[in-house]
Amino acid sequence: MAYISVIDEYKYYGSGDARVVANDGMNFEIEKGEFTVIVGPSGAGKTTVLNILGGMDSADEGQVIIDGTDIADFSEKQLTTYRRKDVGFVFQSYNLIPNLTAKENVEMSAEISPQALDAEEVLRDVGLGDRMDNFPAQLSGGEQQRVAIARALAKQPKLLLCDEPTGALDYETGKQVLKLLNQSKETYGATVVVITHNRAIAPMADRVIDISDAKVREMTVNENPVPVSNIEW
Amino acid sequence: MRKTAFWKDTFREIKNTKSRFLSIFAIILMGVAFFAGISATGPNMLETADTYFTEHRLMDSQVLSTMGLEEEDINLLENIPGASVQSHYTQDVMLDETGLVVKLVSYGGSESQQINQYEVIKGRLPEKPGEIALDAVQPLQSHYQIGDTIALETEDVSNDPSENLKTQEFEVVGFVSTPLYIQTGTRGNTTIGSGSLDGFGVIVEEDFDMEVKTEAYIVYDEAQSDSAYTDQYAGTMEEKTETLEEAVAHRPEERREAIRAEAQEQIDEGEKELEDARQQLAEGEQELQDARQQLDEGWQAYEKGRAEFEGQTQQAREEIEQGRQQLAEAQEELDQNRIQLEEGQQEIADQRAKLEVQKQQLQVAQEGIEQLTAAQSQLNAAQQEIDQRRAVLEEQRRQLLAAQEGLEQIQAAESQLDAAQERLDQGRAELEEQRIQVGGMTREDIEAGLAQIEQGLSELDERQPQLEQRRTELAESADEEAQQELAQVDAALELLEENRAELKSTFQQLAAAQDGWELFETAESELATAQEELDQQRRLLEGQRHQLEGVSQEDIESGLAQIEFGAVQLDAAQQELNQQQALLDDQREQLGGLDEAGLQNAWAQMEAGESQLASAEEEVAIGLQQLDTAQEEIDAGLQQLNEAEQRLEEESAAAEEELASARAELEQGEADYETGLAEFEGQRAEAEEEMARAEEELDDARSALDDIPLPEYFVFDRTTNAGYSEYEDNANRISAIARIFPVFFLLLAVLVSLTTMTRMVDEGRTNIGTMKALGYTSSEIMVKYMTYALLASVLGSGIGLLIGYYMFPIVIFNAFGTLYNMPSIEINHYWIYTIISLIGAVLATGGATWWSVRSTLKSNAAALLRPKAPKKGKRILLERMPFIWKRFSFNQKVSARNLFRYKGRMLMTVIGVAGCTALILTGFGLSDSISDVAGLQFGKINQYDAVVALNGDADEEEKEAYGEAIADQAEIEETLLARQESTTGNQSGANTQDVTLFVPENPEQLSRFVDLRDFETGEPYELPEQGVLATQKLMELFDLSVGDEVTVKDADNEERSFKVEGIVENYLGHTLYMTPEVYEQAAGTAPEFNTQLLTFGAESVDEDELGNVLTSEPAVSGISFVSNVERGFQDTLESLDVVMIVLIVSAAALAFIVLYNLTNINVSERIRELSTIKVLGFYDKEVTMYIYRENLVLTLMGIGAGLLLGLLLHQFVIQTAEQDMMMFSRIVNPSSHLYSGLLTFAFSSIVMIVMHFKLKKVDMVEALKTTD
Repeated sequence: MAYISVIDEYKYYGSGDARVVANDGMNFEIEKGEFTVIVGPSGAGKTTVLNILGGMDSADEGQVIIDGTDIADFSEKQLTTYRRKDVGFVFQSYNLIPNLTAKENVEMSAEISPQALDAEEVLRDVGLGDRMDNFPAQLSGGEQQRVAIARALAKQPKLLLCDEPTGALDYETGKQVLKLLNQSKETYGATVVVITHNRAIAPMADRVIDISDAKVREMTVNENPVPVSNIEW
Repeated sequence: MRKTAFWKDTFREIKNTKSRFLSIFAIILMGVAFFAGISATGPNMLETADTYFTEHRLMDSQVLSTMGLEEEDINLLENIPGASVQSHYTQDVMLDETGLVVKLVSYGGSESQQINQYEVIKGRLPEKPGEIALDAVQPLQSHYQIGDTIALETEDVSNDPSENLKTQEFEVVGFVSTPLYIQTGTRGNTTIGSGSLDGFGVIVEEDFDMEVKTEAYIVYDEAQSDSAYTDQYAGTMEEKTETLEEAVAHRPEERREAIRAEAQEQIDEGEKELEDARQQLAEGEQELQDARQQLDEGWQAYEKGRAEFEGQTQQAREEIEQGRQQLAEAQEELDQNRIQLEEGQQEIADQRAKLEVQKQQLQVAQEGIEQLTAAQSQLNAAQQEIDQRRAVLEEQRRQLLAAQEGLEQIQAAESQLDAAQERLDQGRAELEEQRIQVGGMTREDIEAGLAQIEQGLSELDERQPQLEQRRTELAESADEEAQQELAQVDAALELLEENRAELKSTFQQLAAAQDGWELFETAESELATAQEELDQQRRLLEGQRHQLEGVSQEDIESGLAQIEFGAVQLDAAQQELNQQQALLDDQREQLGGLDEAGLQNAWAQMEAGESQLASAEEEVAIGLQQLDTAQEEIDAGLQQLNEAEQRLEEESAAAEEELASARAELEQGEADYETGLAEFEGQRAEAEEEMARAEEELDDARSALDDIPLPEYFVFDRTTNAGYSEYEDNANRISAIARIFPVFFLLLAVLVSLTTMTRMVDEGRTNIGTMKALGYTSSEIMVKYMTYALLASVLGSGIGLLIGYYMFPIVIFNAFGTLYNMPSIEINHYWIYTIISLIGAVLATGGATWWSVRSTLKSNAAALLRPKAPKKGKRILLERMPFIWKRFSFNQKVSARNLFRYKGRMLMTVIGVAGCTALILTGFGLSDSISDVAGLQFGKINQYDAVVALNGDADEEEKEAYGEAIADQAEIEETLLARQESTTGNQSGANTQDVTLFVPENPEQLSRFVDLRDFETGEPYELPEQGVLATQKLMELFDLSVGDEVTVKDADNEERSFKVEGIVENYLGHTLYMTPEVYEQAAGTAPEFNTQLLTFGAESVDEDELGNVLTSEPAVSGISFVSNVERGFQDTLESLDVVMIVLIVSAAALAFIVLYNLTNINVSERIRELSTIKVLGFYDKEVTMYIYRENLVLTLMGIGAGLLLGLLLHQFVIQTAEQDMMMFSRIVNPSSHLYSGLLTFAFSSIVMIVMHFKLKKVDMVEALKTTD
């Protein structure tokens, strides 16, 4: 069985006439250590999928099996624990704690995780060895995103979920971030899931899941991913 | 409305941010409600009271006088324009059994004209004599019911109610209350019973029996239309009081003149009476003298009568005596005649006697002869008798001798008999022995033996021939057989012979025995005969003895003696006889010459003499007859004389009686006169004494005329009514609290609104930018936010005003409800508070909104559309102190940095929390300060237990009696005389203050009665030799310190200055403590001690009892117990506690809202951050703690600041709420600090719990959505 299996997963928002089906019977699998890109247009339900995968939201129907455990039935608390131990998030808008330095932001995440890595090391790994004591406001967007990635990686998560990580970044910086994510797959053995509407990124993925209208349209396994540096958009 | 979309947006904004809207609404509501409510409470209370007073026509002025009010006084008062007057009789009485002291007040006149109209609580007012309506106070209501009869105590009470009342028993017909006593507790002081009144009682005027009214109440039309407690009223009353005082100003003099005139009249009357008395005395004396004269005359007349009577009696008596003398002479003559006659008669008698003698001699001789003969025969007979007797005696003697002899013989015979018996017995014994020798054989045996032998012999004799024959026969036959037989017969013959011999010897023996027997029998019969003989002799003896029975030897001897005596007698008789014989023989010899013939002759001679004598006697008898006739005449004369004498006696007795009665009458008169005199003397002494006394009294009265005391008139207004003033104080106290508290409250509301609105504008930044970009003007945008803010604040204010105006006055007034009997509070709205509230609320929210929006609007649309750069993180100061920073945990570091990151909000939170804590602490502190006052003043400072007001007019005797009464009370431990004098102190910039001068008799003793301590250091003070100790509040009010002079005016408006040597802790009133010397120096006279302080040794003292005892002393004009004062005071202050509770609850509610609001803003401001950490996997608890840690620190800081702020606020409020006469304790108890802190902390915790659930629900996905 695959590392991640999403089976007949449904998610609705609202109720009655206003009910919107965000995920309409989704099915896909992701293997351990893969770099997966979930791609689709705005409103296709990809963020919902990410939220469900990350334990920030729960599916209304179906199974979400992560490393053999169905998180679809998890309680709030179980989900929190799941997030705490197994998931790392990278947001489009970084969401760093503005009042904490880069190092402290990483530490904050590391503090609550049992198998956390040393914050400084991780920061050096993401290339911010000399900006550790800077506050987010003192960092550029790319740097902030790298801090966010470091924050996610420091926990040694089973799953690294990235929601449009390059959305707020310029081309070059975006590429650097993608590169870093790709590296971290190798360095930390993390299973990385990137959500993006940017199809250009898809070639670099091991697996591409195409979502539109709340359904998985296509899932392709890319035997030969293209290195990031070769990708252009 | 044009811009429909705009309004839609505005209202949707409200809908979407309900909680924010509500929080503004709520904080404004609270602030306004509190401000308006508390502010309105004081005025409401006063207005309620005013309505009540106006309805019940509470008096404006009261007039009293030390001598009551006369008709003229009342008229004077009635003549004051606009005044209506009502006067009453009053009398303080003690009720029997319960001992409650009640002031009886007369009731009469028309209901509508009544001043201080009663409110009937139960039953009705009295309508006829003997009915009473009682004060509806608890002690009376609990003891009496309608229909009960109450009796007045008439004995054990210092005033006797019966003097002034017509009846001493009343029927309870109702319970009433009066606006004069709005307070439910105290009813003032009295001079009877325990010293304080328990209530009043209303009775009809007719039940009083007093000459003058006691008090008069006045209402003025003008004043009644003014509201009570207002300056306007005070102004009106100042004028009126002045008029009133002027109106009665001349009355004391007039009254004194009137009294003087009356007294003069009485003196004159007294003098006249005295004169009358003197005259009466003189008259009495005159009467007595007349009586004396009459008596003397009586005596004279009596003496005269007596002399007359005695003269007449004398004459009569003399006449009688003359008659009697004549008669006596006649009698004498007669008697001489009679003597002669009698001599003749005597002669005759002598002759006759001689004759008679002769006759007698003759007869005697005759008789003598006869007698001699008879005597001779008698003598003979006597001789014969004597002889005879002698013979008898002789016989008797012989007999006796024979008896004696017999007796001796008997005795001899007896002894012979006994000897014979003995011999007999001996013989018998011998015989018996012999019998035994006979071998026990009886006579019969012997005879039988003999007979047998005889028979045997005869048989033998018989056989022998037979045998002989046989032998012969045999011998014939010589055969062998016969031979044999012959041998046998020979043998038998031999045997026979042998037998015969044997028989014969036996026979001999037997015959001998028989002889013996015969002998024996003979002896025996001899013995028997001897015995018989003996017995016979014995019987004989017995008989003799029997004959001699009762004759003992002594008898015999006495018999012999008698016989002897008889013999002697006989000898004597014989001798006498012999003598008589001799006498007889003599007589015979004498008579020897006279014989029968001689006798015959003598007899004849005698007869001749007799006849001679008879004729002489006849002559004498005739003489005697004549004499008798004469005697008769004399006797008749005598009788006449006697009769005359008797008449005289009778007449003189009657006269005597008359005289005696006259005398008795006179003596009676004399006695009467004496008693009259004595009585008069006694009465005169008495009367003279009385007159002297009257004279003295008159003198006294005359001299008293000069110092008749000037009656005092007192004019009081409402301010002297304890309930009226106290009520105002309470209302003012609340108003004072209202001045500062709600303002603070409102400030907090503003603060919260400002924070909230600022946040709102921040959140609406993009919205503002968009609107701006769309082309809305700044003012249009402003309208949206203003609408939002104003809607919240106006709605909040409206509802807040409604709640405030109704809730707070009712709650607080009800707290005072137990203290005052007032109708329900009138709720009034005050525009001033409404407007202030509205303006405050609108300004707070509107201003805050305007300010926030304004600063935002300054940016251009583009800038606004860009998200506001998050606040930059910064290193904080603390990080530069690694020794601290390093010790922090990661979370603590984060919190620390967060705290300083949002300095504004931190400040807001701290201020908010501090404000709430301060309010709560002030509430608690006020409660502490107020409730401490009673304990401090009456427990710590005033250590005495009672104050006795001494009667200045008491004389030495009464003072002494009082001293003894005090000494008798075991519970009284120590006493201290002191002068307490009321003065007034004036200082520019301060109100006029009542200042008491306190002068203890013994300053050394003072510390045990009043604990004087420095107000700052607490050092105890002694009274200084120079200068005074002044109380703290006075010094504060007058802004004086140690070394300054304090000046007061005494009752005569004389100024006196004292140097302040020390300032002492004190809470009630103003006092200057000084030694008698200092007082004297300032006043010029030595202090007259008018009070006495008492301390009790015992824990529990029956104060009612003690009060009864002491007030009954004339030297005491009143007593007040500290416990009573303290209790009353405590009650008042405790009801203020409710106000404090209102404050505390309000402050707590405010604290909650403030904290909630600020936390809410904090959370919403940082929602993204919180969502992030939530996404990172922070548990809910950790997320809450992330915020709470900051809040905790802020809360603690706020509490700390709040406690400091609270102390300041407390001091401020205390000083505002204090009246001039009272100082509250400035100390807030540590526990109050603790409670305030804990309460705030608790609210902050509750807020966090609420927040925790709110945070749990935060949609992190939504919050983290990219803001693009």
